[in-house]
Amino acid sequence: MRVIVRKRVVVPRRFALAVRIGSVVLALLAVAVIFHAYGVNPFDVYRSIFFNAFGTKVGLTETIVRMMPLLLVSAGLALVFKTGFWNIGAEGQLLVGAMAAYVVARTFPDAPPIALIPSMFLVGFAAGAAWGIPPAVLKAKLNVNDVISTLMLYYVIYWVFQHLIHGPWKAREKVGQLTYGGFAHTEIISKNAWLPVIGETRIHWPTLVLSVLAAVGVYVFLNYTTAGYEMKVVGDNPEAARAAGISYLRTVTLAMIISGGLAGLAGVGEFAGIQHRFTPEFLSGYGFTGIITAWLGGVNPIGLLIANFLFGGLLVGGQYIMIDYKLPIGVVDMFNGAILFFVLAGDFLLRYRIQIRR
Amino acid sequence: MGIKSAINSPTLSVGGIDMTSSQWAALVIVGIIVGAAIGYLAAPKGAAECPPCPTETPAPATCPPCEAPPVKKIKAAWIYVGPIGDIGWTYAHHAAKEMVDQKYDWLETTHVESVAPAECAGVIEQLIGQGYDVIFTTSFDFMDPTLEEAQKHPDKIFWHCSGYKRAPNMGTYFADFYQVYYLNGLMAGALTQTKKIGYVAAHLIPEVVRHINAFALGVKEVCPDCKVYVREIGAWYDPTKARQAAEALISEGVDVLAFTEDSPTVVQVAQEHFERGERVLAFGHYSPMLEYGPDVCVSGQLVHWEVIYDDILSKIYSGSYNTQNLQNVDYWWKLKEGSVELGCAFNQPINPKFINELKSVRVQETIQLPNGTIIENPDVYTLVMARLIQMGAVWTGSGWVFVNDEVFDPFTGPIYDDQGTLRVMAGQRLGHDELWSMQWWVDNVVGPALGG
Repeated sequence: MRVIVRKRVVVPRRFALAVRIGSVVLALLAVAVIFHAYGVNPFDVYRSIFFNAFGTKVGLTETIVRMMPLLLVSAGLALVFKTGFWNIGAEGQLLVGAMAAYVVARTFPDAPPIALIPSMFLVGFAAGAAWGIPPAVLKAKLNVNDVISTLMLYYVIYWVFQHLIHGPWKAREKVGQLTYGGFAHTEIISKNAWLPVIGETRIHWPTLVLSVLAAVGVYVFLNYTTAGYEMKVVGDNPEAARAAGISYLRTVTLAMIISGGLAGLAGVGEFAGIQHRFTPEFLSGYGFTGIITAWLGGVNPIGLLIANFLFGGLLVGGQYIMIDYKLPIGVVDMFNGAILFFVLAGDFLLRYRIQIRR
Repeated sequence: MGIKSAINSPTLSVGGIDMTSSQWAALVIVGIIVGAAIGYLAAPKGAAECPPCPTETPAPATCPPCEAPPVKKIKAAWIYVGPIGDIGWTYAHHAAKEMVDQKYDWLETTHVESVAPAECAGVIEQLIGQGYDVIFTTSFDFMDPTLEEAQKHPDKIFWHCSGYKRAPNMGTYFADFYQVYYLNGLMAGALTQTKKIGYVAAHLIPEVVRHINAFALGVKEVCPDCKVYVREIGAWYDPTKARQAAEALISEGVDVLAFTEDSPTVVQVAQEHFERGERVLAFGHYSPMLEYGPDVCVSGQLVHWEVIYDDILSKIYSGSYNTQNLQNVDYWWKLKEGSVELGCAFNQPINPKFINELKSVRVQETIQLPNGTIIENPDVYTLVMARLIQMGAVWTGSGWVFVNDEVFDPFTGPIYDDQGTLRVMAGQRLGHDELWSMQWWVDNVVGPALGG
């Protein structure tokens, strides 16, 4: 007996929809067993997750808050994945972007917001891009494995960051008559550098605008520019690309500039829109989660929006499971993991045809 | 129902109509529904004629009895930075939360674990959306998001653990260990044979520096020429680094270890050395760790967050805390309130294996207890018990009794720092604010340089 896996040439739309919905339903059924074992009615839990994460004002805005950085990261990753280059280090590029925004905000605390905020985004993009370039050059010139180099550069910047906030960036803080020192955090950046939010929500709209623009932008770039076309060729058939005179170095470097830069923007948004100061636990994993949503969404603005919106909702919904049912974090992680597992497995079925022959 | 069973069903004949039992059942059900509907529509509209509750005039007998006014309920939620299973910081908060939850039927609680500081404000929004009106955030890094949310929701009550920012509707609380560390230091000074004592520190923030200094002051009181060697591992929870640091200290000649890290690793390392025939002793931290080092864990510090949570929630329930009066409410509870306890296991301040050895070491000093009793040149066991009494916690031999009085504090001058500068003048005590921002070493500590 042989199992033959063949790439599908055409995927019928209805089949795609059926597989996507089917895999989510299967995942929900599988986790229902676990919820049942914990003594809660799975359907109540699902209602709580979906109603709260998408149907309440707070839940919906929190879902969007988590969607924004994911969208920025995954738009860039979806593009760079098209070239066949695996950028696993978006978390590091995000962190560099945030650190750059901090330096800008700290250097020009009195600059008006209209100048300060665009500067932070610009410098954050540049810093994220700069952190993304070395792996591209290393792969093109020395054939250094991209998964390893991008991931390792994340660890490098992570420990540089930890050193800075435990040392040179550590700040004293005056509260009333007293000054508190010695704690591992930076100062809070000037209010001029805080991103404006929509009403009473925590949605910092500059990041929202940028994230939607990024999702549309990578699609337009890939499909309507020469450089985008070259990325597709490099990803689909590197030999043909070389024969056609397309520079691998230039193409992959450009893709990493965009990918790293967009991750950097996500970092600026997280820092200047949400946290406003660095603590040792600044990161919350958007750079890694974005890999999954990039894979699911592809270079398609609608696909990216849906994938990231649903994933943001999943993160928020997981917290509602804890709030409403007091289930342990392990069950919540299992819920998220199962959905992911089934959706990715379904995605595989969509891309490949599996035949069993005797 | 299949044809076959319908054929086999007994039939009843009413008025010449043959019906099966299943048809009867259907008829009965329809009848009940129709009857109920008619009954509902035909019933007197009593509600309109009844007086509003609570009523002073006697209501007509057809009116429903007035229900007692709803009991006031408090919905409180906890946000944890780590998983509950850490057997350290988060576990201790959660255990305390469960205790108060079970104690009061007017209290309804929930919790969210493993929350990153970035998510804290969002989780607070979600909790408020679900109807929670008292929020506890239990990590230093939650300080700014908690304050932001407190300002955004002036009608809710917030409590932040271990920070220094407050608002009219946001108080702070902390159970501080420094007195207990000092008591551990007394015992460490008596039990060391190499005169070198090691300390594995998570992060050298003021809280940890204060604890190390208190420990060193205890060591110095019993053994003036003993030194405390500090290693910082840069993580609150990292068993691998804690093990490396402990082993490194032991190889430098240390034979007693104390630590701040959320795992029992340091105690386990000491026990492993003991089992190889080397005497290395340890002091537990945060949760009962005696089972990890039954032969080596002398004592340690334990926490009772429930004492603080009980007090806070009772006062919110009684109305003495509200959304207007928390600006200056800062719980900084220690031994005399029962929020911290001396021991490597609950209700056992000193491991019995070490009591005789502690009784064999004497200290040249005079101690006066609050009741006037004077103790000359006590042994270290007696000294520990006397200091406990002086700090408001009396060990009866089987339990604790608290007297809300402190006649002694470890941070009483003269105290010199490791550079030789007089930091606390003779007879003076360090206050809350100096302790809260402490960034210098007592003179018998050998530690990394401390930046501002």
